[in-house]
Amino acid sequence: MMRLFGMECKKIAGSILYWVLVLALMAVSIFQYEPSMESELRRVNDPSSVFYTADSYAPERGAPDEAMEQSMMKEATKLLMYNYRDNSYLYYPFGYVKEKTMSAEEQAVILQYLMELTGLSEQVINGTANETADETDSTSDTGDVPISGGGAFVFKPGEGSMNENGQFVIGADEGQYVPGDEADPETPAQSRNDFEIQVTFERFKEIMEKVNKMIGPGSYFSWPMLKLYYFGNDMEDAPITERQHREFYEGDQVTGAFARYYCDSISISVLFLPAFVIVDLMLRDKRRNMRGLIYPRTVSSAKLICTRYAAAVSMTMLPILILPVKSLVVLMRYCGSIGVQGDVLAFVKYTFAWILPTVMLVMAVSLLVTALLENYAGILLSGMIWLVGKPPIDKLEGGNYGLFDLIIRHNTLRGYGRMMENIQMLTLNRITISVIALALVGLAVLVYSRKRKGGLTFGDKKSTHNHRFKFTAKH
Amino acid sequence: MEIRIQDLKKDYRQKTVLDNISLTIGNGMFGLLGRNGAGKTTLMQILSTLGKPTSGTVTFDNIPLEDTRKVRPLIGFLPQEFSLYPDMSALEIMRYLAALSNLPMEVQRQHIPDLLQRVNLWEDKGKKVRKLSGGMKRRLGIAGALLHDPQVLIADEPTVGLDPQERLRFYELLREFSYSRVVIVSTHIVSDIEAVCERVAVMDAGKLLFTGKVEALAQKAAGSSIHRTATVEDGYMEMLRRLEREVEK
Repeated sequence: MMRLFGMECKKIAGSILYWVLVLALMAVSIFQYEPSMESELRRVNDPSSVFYTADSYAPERGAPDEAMEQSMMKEATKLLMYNYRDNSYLYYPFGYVKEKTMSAEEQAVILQYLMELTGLSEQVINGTANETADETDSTSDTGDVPISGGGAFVFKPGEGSMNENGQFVIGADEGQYVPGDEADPETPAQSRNDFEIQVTFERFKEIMEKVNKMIGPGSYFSWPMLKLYYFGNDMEDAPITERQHREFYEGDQVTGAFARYYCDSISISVLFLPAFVIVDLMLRDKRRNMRGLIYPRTVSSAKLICTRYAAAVSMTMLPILILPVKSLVVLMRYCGSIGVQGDVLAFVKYTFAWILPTVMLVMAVSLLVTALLENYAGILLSGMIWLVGKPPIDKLEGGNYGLFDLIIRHNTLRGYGRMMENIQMLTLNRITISVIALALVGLAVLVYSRKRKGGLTFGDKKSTHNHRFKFTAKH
Repeated sequence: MEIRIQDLKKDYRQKTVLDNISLTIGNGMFGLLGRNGAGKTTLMQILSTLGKPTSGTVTFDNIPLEDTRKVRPLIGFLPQEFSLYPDMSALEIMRYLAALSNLPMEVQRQHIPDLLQRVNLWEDKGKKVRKLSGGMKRRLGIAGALLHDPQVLIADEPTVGLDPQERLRFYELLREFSYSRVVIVSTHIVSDIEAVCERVAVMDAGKLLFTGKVEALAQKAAGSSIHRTATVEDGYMEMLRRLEREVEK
């Protein structure tokens, strides 16, 4: 059996589609996961870094109070104003970010909401009031001339003069350059930020719901995203609390948090791409006219199908296990430097617990469909699973698990406690997904066995000839 | 080994592909002769456990065809037309097929070099399949079919695409193998049957027209007004002519 397993692995390694999967996983690991890890390591002294260690930590955010509600309303309204100004609204319809551009009518509705929320006039929100004000300002006693790249030249009264061509001429010792942060010109954006919320929290929620509907599912104005950003402790820029500090160093032993984040990064890819590997492996017999030589062999259908399935799953898991080795070394070295015991097996544990069941299921579905139809429908079906199988945006930060969630999201280095609170459902989910996968493999064995005996010939155009099997020549 | 075929029928979408075939095949070379579409391939596939009959029975030394677990180790099958994984070498193909035949390693070590030498491919064992000629692939196919030392070898049109020299060598190999086993060869080339088979069955339109010794098939034509010195081909053609006349009536 091991010999057959090795041969099937070798066949997979010779497939271009397998290397497409490996490259995709490498891309996610190198361009998405590793930069996040390196960035976190660069800011170990930042109070919002998970590595941050100090005598005191940020207070825990408890139940939302009025101050938090006010903060949410103001910050969300500011964001809406920026989005309105650029006519660019981000949302997450299928787990990936998308940008929406509103029509003129929709922009007018957003403007009405902004006016209601802020009490500002249309001119101020659009910035046209400030353009007029800027023109007036140029005649004031103290003139600021904003320059590209930020900053400004500040002139005292009497400095600079107009020449006969209408150009403003500055003398060598006139004016003083003030860098961007220090310059204090009354820019349009700042004047638009100067507002108080004019509505109740309930009305704010109503408006946000309508705005979210206009943009699309999973926008930054959806209630789950608002809660996540303004009521929680788990956003990357929120200062770390003592509980989070303890969870990171004691619960996760540092590497656990990164292993979870790594699994989250590749989870979307493994919801689809493994289908290519198994479909290609199964269809190779048909493409290469090998069925006539393989079907009458003494090997049982169960052994052949299970070996191929195991080979495909193993070959898919191999790069997933190898890719984080570099980051594991970096993290273990860092742990050693600060005298913390890192969990060297964290990536293996999380990869097997979180990723393996998903890979098993995607491959089992594709295996069954390919055994049945002997065409590429398995890839098509996996594409559909990929489209509908991604969890909604409120599951992005982990801890909120459903029994049939195909992938486990945990898009933060924090949240160990939240995961542990729901560990039973998480375990049940992974077991359920694995059991369904194995049941589908069992069905695939039955289908393959029938096919070997000349049954279930639909889907195979060649066998709809007057013979059940017709092996075509390719020399 | 004895293969008993009793009232075998195969329908496909209201078309009868095999019509009540009854046949007994013993050790030695057995030829299945018929035009394209006669039903030879369907019969071969049923005998190879790759197709299910609509009705009738087939037994291999009293083991029913449906008992594939017992029947498959008895059978070696060479399909009419096949290809192989192009990236594998001849040796790798043999090892892969051996693994699919559940052959123990020690048996593989002995059988694979022996078979590759017998089919004259030992020197080319490291060559990738994509670099093998059609004849070499077919020889590799027969070596693969014989890997598990089957009691029955079923070869469907095995010499298609081979040059005359390769055809002779191929049949010599089959004849050598058939001394203590059943070898069933289907073909539409009459001279092939004449050269190597002891017994023959003639099929047309799913029906069995003749079964018996090769010489008996030649004698079928001997009485006809056309031929004075009858050959197997004459007998076969005469049989087809009679059939066509019956159909016309």
